[in-house]
Amino acid sequence: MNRPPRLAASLLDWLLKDDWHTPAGDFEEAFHRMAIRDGERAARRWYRKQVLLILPERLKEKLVWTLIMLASNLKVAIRTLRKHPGFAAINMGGLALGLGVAILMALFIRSELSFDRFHPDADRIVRVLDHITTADGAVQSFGYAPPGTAQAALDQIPEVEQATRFFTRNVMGRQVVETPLARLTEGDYLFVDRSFLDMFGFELIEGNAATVLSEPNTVVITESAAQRYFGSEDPMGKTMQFEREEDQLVVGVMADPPRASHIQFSMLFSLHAYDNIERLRPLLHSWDGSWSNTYLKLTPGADLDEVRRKFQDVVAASRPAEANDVSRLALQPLMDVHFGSSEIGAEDNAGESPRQTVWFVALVAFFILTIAIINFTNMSTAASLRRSREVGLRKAVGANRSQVARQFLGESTVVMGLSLVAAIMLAVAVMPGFNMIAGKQLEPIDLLDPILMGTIALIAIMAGLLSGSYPALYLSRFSPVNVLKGRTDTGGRTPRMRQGLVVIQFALSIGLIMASLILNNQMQYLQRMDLGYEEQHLVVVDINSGAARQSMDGLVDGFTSLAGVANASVTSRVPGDWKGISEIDVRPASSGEESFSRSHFLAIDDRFLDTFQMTLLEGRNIRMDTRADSMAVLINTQAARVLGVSVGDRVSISPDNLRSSAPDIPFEPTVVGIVEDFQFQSAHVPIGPMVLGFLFNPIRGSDYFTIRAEGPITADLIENLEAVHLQFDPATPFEYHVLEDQLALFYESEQRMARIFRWATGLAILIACLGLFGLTAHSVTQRTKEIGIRKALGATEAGLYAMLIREIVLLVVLAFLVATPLTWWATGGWLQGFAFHVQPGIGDVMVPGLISIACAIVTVSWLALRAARTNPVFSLRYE
Amino acid sequence: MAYIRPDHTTTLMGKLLTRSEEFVLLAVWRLQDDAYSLAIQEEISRLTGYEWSLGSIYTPLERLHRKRLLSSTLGTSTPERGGRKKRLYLVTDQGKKALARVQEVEHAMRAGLPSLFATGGAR
Repeated sequence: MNRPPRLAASLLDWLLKDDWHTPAGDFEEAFHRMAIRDGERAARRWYRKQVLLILPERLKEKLVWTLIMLASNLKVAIRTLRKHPGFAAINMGGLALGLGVAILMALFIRSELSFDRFHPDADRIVRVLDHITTADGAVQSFGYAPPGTAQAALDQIPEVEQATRFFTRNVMGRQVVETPLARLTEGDYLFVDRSFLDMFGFELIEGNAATVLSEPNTVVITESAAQRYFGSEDPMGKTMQFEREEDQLVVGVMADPPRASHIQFSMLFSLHAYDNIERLRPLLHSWDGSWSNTYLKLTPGADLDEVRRKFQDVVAASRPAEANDVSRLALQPLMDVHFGSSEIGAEDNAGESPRQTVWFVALVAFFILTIAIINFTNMSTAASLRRSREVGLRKAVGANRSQVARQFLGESTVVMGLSLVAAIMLAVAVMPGFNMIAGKQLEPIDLLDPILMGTIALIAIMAGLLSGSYPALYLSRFSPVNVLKGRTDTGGRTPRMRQGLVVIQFALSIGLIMASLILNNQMQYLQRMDLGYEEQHLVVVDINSGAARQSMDGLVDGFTSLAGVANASVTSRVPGDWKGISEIDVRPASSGEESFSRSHFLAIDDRFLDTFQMTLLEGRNIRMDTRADSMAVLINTQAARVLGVSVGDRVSISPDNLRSSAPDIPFEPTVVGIVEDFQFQSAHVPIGPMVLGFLFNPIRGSDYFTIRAEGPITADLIENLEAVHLQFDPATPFEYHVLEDQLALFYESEQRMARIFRWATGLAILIACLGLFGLTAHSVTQRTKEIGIRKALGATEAGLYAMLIREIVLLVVLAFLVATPLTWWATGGWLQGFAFHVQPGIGDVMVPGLISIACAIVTVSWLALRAARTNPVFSLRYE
Repeated sequence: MAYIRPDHTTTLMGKLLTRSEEFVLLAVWRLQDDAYSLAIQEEISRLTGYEWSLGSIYTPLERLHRKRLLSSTLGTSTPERGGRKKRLYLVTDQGKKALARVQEVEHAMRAGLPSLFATGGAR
């Protein structure tokens, strides 16, 4: 049989679905009659025309009704919320907390992922790395390359479109900078190629971009440097005095580098200007030694692997084979710098962080959001019982299941929307605190990013549908007959589904607590690990001038004579400072040239061991009163083991390590003592051999005073130290660090993660307990009559209390059993990534379980006690 | 309006049926057990000599139903209707009374008039 046009027919069906008459059938029957009488084409035409005629009126009607129902549902939703304000507050509070955390974490992730992305064509820029193989076979990586690399790559590799270099303070040292307003020691300057501003997206605010970096003795400063040195005055055209340079004219002002940049600076000098100095030019293009941070921009569509091959050829051809043996130059895409530089010296990767951080944060956000959504699902489902009559009535007057479901989905979306607004306000309110925890500089304006907003809105809508879907399905299933008769299919006990969700919630919370505990233990382990010296109460004062260096003895005496100072020492390096600890090649004097070992070198005075409170295992300390000890060294146990020398033996230090000014004779000092191993670097690095030489030696000069205070370091003490410093060196600004603070920087990224974890854990358990409270409140209300009857029949308060909390405790115990092995397994994998790590003990397992059970019991106890104590007269009269 | 609201006013009984209502009611009475929308439309079209649209049937049908002059049941589904059921109408006692009253008034209105056919007129 012929059928009417399909599209028109289904449209008609949809339009006339609810019609009391049976017009859709009529039209089809009429169509068949007409097809027989007038032919099919005419019939089809007629049918289509009828549909078009009906369409506008019916569509309008449908729309009007949809709006009416929407308004009605909205009204019901708001009435429900207002009827149970406490319930609504718990429900939306939990959601808002969860969403707020998710928003902040999304901002965090976004800021991590957008690192270094502000440069134009950031994905075409690569950085040159130098992987240097040390004598003991270890590979160390650096973010710089030989100065000649940039030009060679630009000239010889067609895919390299642009190349730029800069030299940092690592090369030039720090120096005192002076203006009429300020006098400071400056280290954050760069000597840059002219192409620096072209390649990178740093913003020049004042000055001519074409010329700023080409003239000698001119400087471009950042806004904050301008503020430091010139205050509110316009710095353009003003002069700055530099300790070791000519006076510099300010010719440009730049915006501060974004925090999401691995290149940080406060001043730029022109490298090009030095190119014109005959004496320096060969140095600026040499292939000897790596010390120039080098970046290449590739042509669009260039194949990185191909470029890498060509780059290796260029490097191999440009320097002797021996150089290529120890140093391997490589290209690192700019986009990998932030996450992929944990092996590279930190001063070349500002803000570097492990990629796992992003995953961790995303996972934590997901956990918390899940807990919050489960809360909402559970509470809404529980609350639904109160509304079973409403559902019954709606169904009785003709609502079908999908209409009821839609109503509840709509309600949960409304609640979600309100919670989202609250969450955004919450996120803005706690942003400063979060910035401190996470070490970020987020601003409320960051929230306005459309992609972020879209993602958050999408998450909220998904969460609304997800959390609304269970109550919606559950409620719409009610049979109106049963419901209106007062029968619901749930008694006092929580249904399986809800129990399961509570278990998931607490399993996640327990997992977070456990992970957080283990993380904290690991952090404490790293920090409390015996460093081999006493790191508390130490102040480091930099030696920045010849004047201070000349009068070291006077300064040390001055420092030690101060009240509250126990000791003071002069060394070449201190733990945690930006200057790397010097490395030397050393061998036993008795053996041949081939047996050199790589070792750290530290110049010390006779007070060093006492000041740092190190243990001398064998032999004696260095003496300063006798010239003979200039040929004496101490070594650590590692060095004794590696070199196979003991007290009395002589060691030979490679002539390559000696200062060029040193006399041309072999340096073969005698080992006079062996000290216990001590850790001057981060605990990520194993302790290697170390040679501790006489303060006046041909390798390294003195650079730091270390002062041991008798107690915690006070502002008074610092003032006194400064006064002593001023006495001997009136010209150089006083610069100091508290050693412990410097050491903490080693673990900054781990600390940050631990802090985020701690807070997230607290919030997770709070939200979970909030949900538990709501759920218990509901179940207690449901069982009011039961409790009354039990009591009337002689149940004790304690018995009733136990009955009420038993279920919750069982659920949390179950969650504990689920969470523990999973967390154990997950954290185990993470701990394996550390060279030194803790082994989680029974405490790490039991404590989270006990905490959760305690939280759960405390949460429900109040309600349970109140219910158990109620006089049965009142509970039986209930309803 | 697609939704039928029960109408409890009986004052309408005092008013006369409109012509289309009268025709529809008559058609239902004439068709007896097989009175459904399409059949009614065809019957009226046949008797009046011009095509009545379906829509022009539904409106009086609904109005009559609301005034309780018609009752309805859902009939069987047939393949010609794409498997959809048809709604069958029956004239209620009140409906019959309404028809009778229309007839009475008609008679009364025409009684004693000069013959319409004798004068010829403008035909």
